[in-house]
Amino acid sequence: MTSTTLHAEQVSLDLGGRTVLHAVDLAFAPACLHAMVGPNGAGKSSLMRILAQVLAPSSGRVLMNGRPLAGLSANQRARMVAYLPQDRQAAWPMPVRELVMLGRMPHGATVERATRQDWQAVDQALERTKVSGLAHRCITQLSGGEKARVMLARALATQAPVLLVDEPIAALDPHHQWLMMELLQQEAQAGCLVIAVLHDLSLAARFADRIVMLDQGRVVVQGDSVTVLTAQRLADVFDIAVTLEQDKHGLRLVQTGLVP
Amino acid sequence: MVTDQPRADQARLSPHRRLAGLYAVLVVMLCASLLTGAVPLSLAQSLKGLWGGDDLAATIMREIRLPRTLLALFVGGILGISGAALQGLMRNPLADPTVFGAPQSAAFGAVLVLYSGMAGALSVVLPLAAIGTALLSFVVLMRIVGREASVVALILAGLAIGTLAGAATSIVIALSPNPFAVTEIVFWMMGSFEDRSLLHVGLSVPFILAAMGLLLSQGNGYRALVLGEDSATSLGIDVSRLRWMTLASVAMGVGAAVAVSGAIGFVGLIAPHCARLLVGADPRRILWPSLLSGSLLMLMADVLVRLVPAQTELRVGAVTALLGVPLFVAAIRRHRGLFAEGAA
Repeated sequence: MTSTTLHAEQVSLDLGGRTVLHAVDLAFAPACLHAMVGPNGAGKSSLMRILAQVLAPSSGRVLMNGRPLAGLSANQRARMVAYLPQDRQAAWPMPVRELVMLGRMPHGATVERATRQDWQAVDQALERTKVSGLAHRCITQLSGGEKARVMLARALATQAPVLLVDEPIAALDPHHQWLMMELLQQEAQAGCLVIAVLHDLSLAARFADRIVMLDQGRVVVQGDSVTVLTAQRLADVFDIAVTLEQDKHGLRLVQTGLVP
Repeated sequence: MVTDQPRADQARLSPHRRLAGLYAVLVVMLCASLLTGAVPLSLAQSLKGLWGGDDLAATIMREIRLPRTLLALFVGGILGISGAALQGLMRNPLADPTVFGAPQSAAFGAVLVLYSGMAGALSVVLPLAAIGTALLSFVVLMRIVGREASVVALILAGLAIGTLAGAATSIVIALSPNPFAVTEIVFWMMGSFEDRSLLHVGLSVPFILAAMGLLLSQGNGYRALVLGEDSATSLGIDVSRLRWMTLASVAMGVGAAVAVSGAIGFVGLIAPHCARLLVGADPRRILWPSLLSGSLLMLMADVLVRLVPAQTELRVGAVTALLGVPLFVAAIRRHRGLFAEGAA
């Protein structure tokens, strides 16, 4: 599990005559928390959907441990890659524990036909995301922060070596943002390859092992936070003016204005 | 605990017991349907007639009441489970078979046959034409939107097909040269199980059973769709296959149902809501109870039309709506949250 790598090889995507991704070539190191950053419309979510094989690229391919992901059956791929999309709305009021059991579907488990091991995976995922107390509540009655953690638990319950999360901390308060980032960091430390799309550059700098910056469908740079997040680059890509300081907590970002 | 049954709502009765109650009421209604009719028969006469003999009781039981009861059971069942499957597929509590135009198309096929004078309302040609046009509507739907269509495109195309079929039906009625044919068409369209034979059962039930089986087998897909299409895909569900399997099954099953019973509305919409009152909102778990609720609703309506004294028998389609609306209102009140935030 600790050695799983993911590689986007020359991935391009055309959607409705517009090129969303231009020959993106990216390697993701194992057991790391990768933050994917970039302005709106940079192609982050599209790249995540391609990595999760929910969307087929126009050209190029995704390799896991050197082998094409598209060559796996739907169930095999689902056991290897857990994906949490941006939309985390549950369509029906279902109990939390049954919803998290959906994460065991790639292993052939359902609420009706789950082994002890499946229920253990579900309960562990609920514990790790600190929502065990909500197990029997109804998903539609939960707050945004609770719902976000339940949905993460659903993804964790699969126990896949790769975890892809799209904007996991959007619409969360600062406390829950921090909590969520800690959870993702713990997963990476436990050996999972985690890729998270983030808009909060400070949290990306604080928690991510590696940062990938995308702009207009191209990779701008990939590396650690100090390499990637420079005042000049943030001005070029995001059109924002920032001051950066290195202190004992890591890299500190303060936005001072917009670049005209 | 590993084995306990998590529940969203703390109700007094377990879902298992409620389902058992549903079975019990269904059996009672089946018996009531077999024992109700213009000719009063005792329980003993009815049972004897059902199993054999060639007296009047046997004729009434086997050629009038048994086909009628079986058709109500299966037609109600397929409408109920179709509604549940479509609501699961669309992630929307308002979906029902009429959204995709299959029942309207089936009705058009049948009306065309009635109009052309090729067959009377009780002929074998009628169901075949109705099933044919329902399946044709599915093929047209798929030709319009393609296999990878979005839900919105499907609903819009279904709306177009349904509207077209409805308009074509009224044009056929307006153009009909003789008033007798018009009466026949209008009565047929209101839906009824009157005067159906075992031949009708034999014609429609195989299609209905096949459709029920196919829809029941897709339960995991509907359940995964609770999280949205991307999540379902990432969990290993082939969403576009799930979609065309569901729509084709609904077209086949509902087409066969409309073919023998006429157009009966509202059951497909209400039955899943009744099922949710019993077992919760899980889209897989409501499939079977929705089937049973649809059957029950249809049997109740069909018994009622036979009990109410009227010059011509009441139409079952009108009664399902009368019975269904109070249940529907109860479901809306119970699941207000569903309509507030769940209908994404």
